[in-house]
Amino acid sequence: MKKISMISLILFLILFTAVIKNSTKRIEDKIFESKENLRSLKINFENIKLEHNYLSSADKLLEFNELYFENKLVQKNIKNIKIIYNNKTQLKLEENKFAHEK
Amino acid sequence: MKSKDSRIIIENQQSDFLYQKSKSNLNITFNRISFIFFVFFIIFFIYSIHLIHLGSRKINIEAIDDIVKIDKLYRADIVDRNQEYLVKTINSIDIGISPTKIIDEKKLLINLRFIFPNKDFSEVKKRIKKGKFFYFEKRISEENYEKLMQLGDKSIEPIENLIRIYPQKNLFSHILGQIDNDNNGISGLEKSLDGDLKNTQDPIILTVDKDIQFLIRDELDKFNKIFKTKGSGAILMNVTNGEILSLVSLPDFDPNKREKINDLNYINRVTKGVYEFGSVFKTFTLAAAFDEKIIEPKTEFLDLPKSLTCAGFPIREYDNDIPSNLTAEQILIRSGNIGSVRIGQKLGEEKLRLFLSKVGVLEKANFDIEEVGKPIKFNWGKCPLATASFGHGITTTLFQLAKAYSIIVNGGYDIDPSLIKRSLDIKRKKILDEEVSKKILPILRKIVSTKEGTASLANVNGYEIGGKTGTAQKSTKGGYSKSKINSFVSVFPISSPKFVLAVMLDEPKTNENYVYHYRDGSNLKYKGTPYNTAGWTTVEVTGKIIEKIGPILATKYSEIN
Repeated sequence: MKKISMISLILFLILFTAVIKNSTKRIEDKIFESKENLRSLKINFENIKLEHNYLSSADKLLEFNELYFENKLVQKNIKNIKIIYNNKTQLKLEENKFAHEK
Repeated sequence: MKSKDSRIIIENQQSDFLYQKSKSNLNITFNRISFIFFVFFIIFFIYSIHLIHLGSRKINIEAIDDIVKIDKLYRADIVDRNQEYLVKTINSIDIGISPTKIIDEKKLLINLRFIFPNKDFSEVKKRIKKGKFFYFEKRISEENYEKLMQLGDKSIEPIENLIRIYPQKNLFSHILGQIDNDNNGISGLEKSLDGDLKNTQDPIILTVDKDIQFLIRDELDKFNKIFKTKGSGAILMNVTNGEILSLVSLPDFDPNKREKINDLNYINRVTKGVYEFGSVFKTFTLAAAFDEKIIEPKTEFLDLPKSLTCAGFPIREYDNDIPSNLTAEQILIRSGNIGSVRIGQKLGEEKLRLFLSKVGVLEKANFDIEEVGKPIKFNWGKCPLATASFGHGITTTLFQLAKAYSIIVNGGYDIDPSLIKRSLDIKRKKILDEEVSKKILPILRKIVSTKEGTASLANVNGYEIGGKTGTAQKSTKGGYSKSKINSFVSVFPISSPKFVLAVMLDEPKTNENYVYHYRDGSNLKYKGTPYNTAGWTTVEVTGKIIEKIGPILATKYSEIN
């Protein structure tokens, strides 16, 4: 009886290992697939980002500025740049404290 | 009964294993069930060994990725502090043709003409006749690649390549450098980070800001034309942690073109160019004296002569109207040569040398790129001490000047200037007395904000700029030429220093038509450059640069500390 139960236990463990191994392989395949998909998505994202970087570069923006907004875009004076504080009940404007010479 | 008993005994004997020693071998007898069990057991045993073997093998997907990338001559991208691309590696496909594999030449040419209608096919025909492999088209589009693959012609061979793209063109050429055709870095960060770039998966993040770099380069380029300079350089550094937000040297080059640059004028003027910068050194003399507690800003120097002679060579004041009695503070504000010599003499050779060494001006600097200049060895002595006190005869790089000023104004903490973003929790080492910053900062401010100062054209409203000008004649073999190096090292905001901006112009000339707008609130304009000094050239450039980059620094980087 003891022998039979030992043998059944070994058999069960072998079968269980086989099942686990199979499911692990399936999961590994899925991970590999997802990683491959991610890689192609990453390549797409990087290419689009590169395009965005190029189109939004200072060089290009100045070019667009000259073409479309010649008189509309003006350089901001630091004195006109304020800091907005959200005080829950109201918004508060404060001077930019970059330089505070007395 | 006897016969019945004997029958039972026979049955019992049949269900038992019987081991008998034969003449030659062990004789094993099984019953049927045991035999089947044994076969199954063997099969399971073999399979379980196989399973254990399979289970022990680890499939490392990441390792596979690495191999793929290394096989493809992988090289990591480089981005700025805002994750904007400065260098990007992209895959490209070149199409080659193997004439020996062509089955039907006419059909192939018709198909290719259909896909590439604008290509000159007479040349292609000639090459096919030669019978050797040749590149039909380089860097083809994905669309054309698919069309070519659909032809299914074995003579068409796609070859995968890597291209290094520098989307900012010239903007970071002196920082990034170039690579050769074998994908090895030959200058700049491409060279110094070659190993990392080949082995790192993630992009390398730099401390520079693309927009600030653009604005500084744009202004420098504009003023190179106005003052007809040979070249120029600028470096913007965070005084607290040494992060370099911008490093521009002109003329520069487009790394996308992969040209071989032999012209010495394309030297990196910020890190490689070693120059005499003149009066900007007077700040070091005064700071050293404050550090040694030898003098105070209000210490008076009386009866200062207009000229001195040392080893037969005269030392004169640049401005003859300079008073004979000056305080230490006034000596720096009015950029007095004789006064600086007196401070230097009071300090002594050893202490000045030690101070300059501490702030990293005298020795070759350690930096992220290999293009770093070595200051010319300075032979100390009585007269050299006098000349070094006002920045004559002593050399360094603009990069080292920016670092030294940063240490002087940040409370005396040593910094390690860097182009590569690192963790912020770096232990700070104090190398100067804290009082040095407190004493020197108001003086630097007065150089810009008062009429006596030499840098009033940089007094941009709202940024509290301070700094020191330097006008030096360029040294030649055995003497000095008439050409000049005009420099200005600015610090802002003075009440809580955050940035140092060092600008230099190499051989500027005066411009008769340039119109200066005074920044003293008078709204006065002045046409033409009266003197070829830093106060009328580099200071004007610095003012214009800070006017442009100031709003970005004040908003985006106001919490930088």
